[in-house]
Amino acid sequence: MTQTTANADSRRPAGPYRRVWGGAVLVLVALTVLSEAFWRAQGFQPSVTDDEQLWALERDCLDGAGPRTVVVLGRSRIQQAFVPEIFEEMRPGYGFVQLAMGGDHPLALLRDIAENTDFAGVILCTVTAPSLLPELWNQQQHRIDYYRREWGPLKRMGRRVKTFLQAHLVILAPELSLREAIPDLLRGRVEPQFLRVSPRRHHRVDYRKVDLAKFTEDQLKTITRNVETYVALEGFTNWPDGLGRIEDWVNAIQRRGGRVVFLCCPTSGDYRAVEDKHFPREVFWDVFAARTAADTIHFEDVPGMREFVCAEGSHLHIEDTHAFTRLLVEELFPSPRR
Amino acid sequence: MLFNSLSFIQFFLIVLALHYLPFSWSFKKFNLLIASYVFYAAWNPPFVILLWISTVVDWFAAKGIARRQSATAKRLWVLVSLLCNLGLLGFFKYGGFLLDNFVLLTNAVGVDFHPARPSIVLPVGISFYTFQTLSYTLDVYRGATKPSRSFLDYALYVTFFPQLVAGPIVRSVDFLPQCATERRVAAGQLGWGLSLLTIGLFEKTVIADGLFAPICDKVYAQAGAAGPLDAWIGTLAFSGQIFCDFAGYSTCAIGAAMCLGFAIPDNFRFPYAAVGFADFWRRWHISLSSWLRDYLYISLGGNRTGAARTYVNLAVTMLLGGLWHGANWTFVVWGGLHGIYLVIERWARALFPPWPLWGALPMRMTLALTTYLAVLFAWVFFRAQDFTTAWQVTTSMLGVGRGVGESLVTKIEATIVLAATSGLLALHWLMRDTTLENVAARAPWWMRAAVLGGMLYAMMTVAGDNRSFIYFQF
Repeated sequence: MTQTTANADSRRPAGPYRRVWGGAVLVLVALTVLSEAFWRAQGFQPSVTDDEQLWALERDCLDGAGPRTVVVLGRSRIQQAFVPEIFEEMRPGYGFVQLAMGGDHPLALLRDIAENTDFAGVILCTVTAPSLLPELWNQQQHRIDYYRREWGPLKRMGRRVKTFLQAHLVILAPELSLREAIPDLLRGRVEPQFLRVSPRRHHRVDYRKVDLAKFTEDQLKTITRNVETYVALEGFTNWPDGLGRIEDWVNAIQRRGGRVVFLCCPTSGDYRAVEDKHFPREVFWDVFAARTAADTIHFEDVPGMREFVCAEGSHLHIEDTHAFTRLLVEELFPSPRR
Repeated sequence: MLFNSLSFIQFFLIVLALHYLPFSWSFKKFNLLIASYVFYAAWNPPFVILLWISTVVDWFAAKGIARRQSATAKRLWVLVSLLCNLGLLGFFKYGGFLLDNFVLLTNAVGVDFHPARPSIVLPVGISFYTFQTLSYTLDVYRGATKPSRSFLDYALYVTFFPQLVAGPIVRSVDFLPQCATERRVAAGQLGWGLSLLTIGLFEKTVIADGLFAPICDKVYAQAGAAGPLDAWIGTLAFSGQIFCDFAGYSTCAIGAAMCLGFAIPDNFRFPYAAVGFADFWRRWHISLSSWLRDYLYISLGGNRTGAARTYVNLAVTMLLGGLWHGANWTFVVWGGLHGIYLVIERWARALFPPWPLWGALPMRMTLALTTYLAVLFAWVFFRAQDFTTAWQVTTSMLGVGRGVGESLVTKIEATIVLAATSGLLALHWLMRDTTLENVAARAPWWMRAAVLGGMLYAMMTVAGDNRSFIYFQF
């Protein structure tokens, strides 16, 4: 019944293993240096993979965060538009936690912070009118579940190492993975790097490096398709019924000394026209702003913000993000040096 | 915890460091046991309880079998072990499946029965460790081994983390003697163990996940739109993915165990070079096929009860082997197809006398290719989520499905899959009658260094979404 074991000691290949492994490390270092030099010469820079683990690392910062902390909730718009360096320059001594994530509406996270943490700092919650539809509240719940159920010390350590390496080595940028780069190299056409993600989850998107007309067209198709889905939801007509619960979360945070600020980010062009048609400001945002105890900032009400023209209708150009962040910080803290 | 994660690297470094410190052998084994529980708990802590149940029940069952004199009493203890292990497996793995089929059956006879579907989470690796502990009590029952005297050794045998969640399924007669005396790890053992770990991870992360999986997933996700080329490319990609995924895991397991001084059995021997299906199963998932042979096929009578009964035994063994892989009828069909292949092969061998031409190289290569193609068609049922998908892919492969339209796979993807699959088949053929160890032994040190360095670089830069190993779900 005993089976043969190919790895029995007698069948282990002899060899100078120190030399083998020393040589392997040298080969690894040489390949790394050469490819690093090659990609940097092509204009690429290090970028971090923005996945659930990077989000969870950021979420860790929320626990124990003091009142001089701004937590950013929302979607990709604010992830691109909020520039950490500008914030830190304007509000020295303040920290931030970037918890926005592309694609999903953020109210599940607001609820989680209200109900399951004692955070008493500033929450900047970026919403659009559809974010208020109760059917869409749970969109970010999967990340919360991941954080509560799967995140742990080993993953945290592993992700820290990965983040550190990705922040310093360009060859570890997601778009330069063998899977992505080999087909490009075979085609003889390497796409320029238009997205760089910082270890603190800031997305630097340079729309000058993409086919902007196609991006704009795709965004318009997406919003049109999404709007069709949203208007068919029950919450589209009775969304004000859910405002009471949102207020419960806001009050829970504000009662313990925190502050909630709802923000409507700039949009423009055809994209904004679709939003305005189906979710007119006076029907949604103004009603919401009148009923909430939280502060609200609508980009149309802020001189400077309302003039921004978005790249593809819903995200700011990279060169506008610094100015946007300055305006935002001034709105968040009306008396900057107080 | 996945081998292909930074978490595992950190975990393994800590385990290795503790293992190499000058502690007593018992303390080192205890460390390994705790590490194994941590490894398992990293996925879902409460399910460690199932491991304990399986461990404790089989420990006492083996003792009971050895102590009792009467055959009935011994059988009762075997029954306890079977009920516990197969009960756990049945509930967690097949509970939902059985209920679904029962509902279908009752509805088919006109009874309107719609119970709530229970939400049962499948504990990772349950099929592996239940079969492993079961083999222990069955071996004790058959007199092939004696019950272990050390609960620590036995618990480590059940729980040993390198092979806990996806095999190889180790027999107690192979593992327990290794616990008796301290495993001193020579530098060469560590060096070769780390080499195996690297090779296994390379197979998994670069070949399986990096090259094959995205293309296979793309085709099977849109099987209805797949033309003949798409279906072939998707299924070829899966044949490469499943091999590199599972053989990669086994190689990692063997390497990790070797770093700790333990030897665990081979699970793969270049199966895509198999000449015939019996040969395939001597090369593919060897620890499961030998388990099924020893504890199921032979128990059913094997080939000792006439030709017809042998065919039935083969078919039943393979059907159950298919079901072992997953609670889905597609796995049963996959097993059934292999059962049919084996029956036809056995029947043909009996019908046609040995012929010198069978041994000629061109004929053997033709037979190997035929075997691979038959295995490939069976993989469709293994990969497909349901029969509709399997049917769509199979008919497309046979050219009777969707006509030639816009292809799902790009030319570059098709080239990658064809080149990688051809390379894999050629490698298997060249390695058919040798071992990795023999090849490594003949290679100069600098070539081994270059290969390992290249693999490490590829693993570092492949970047994926840390897919778990396919066999974790079984």
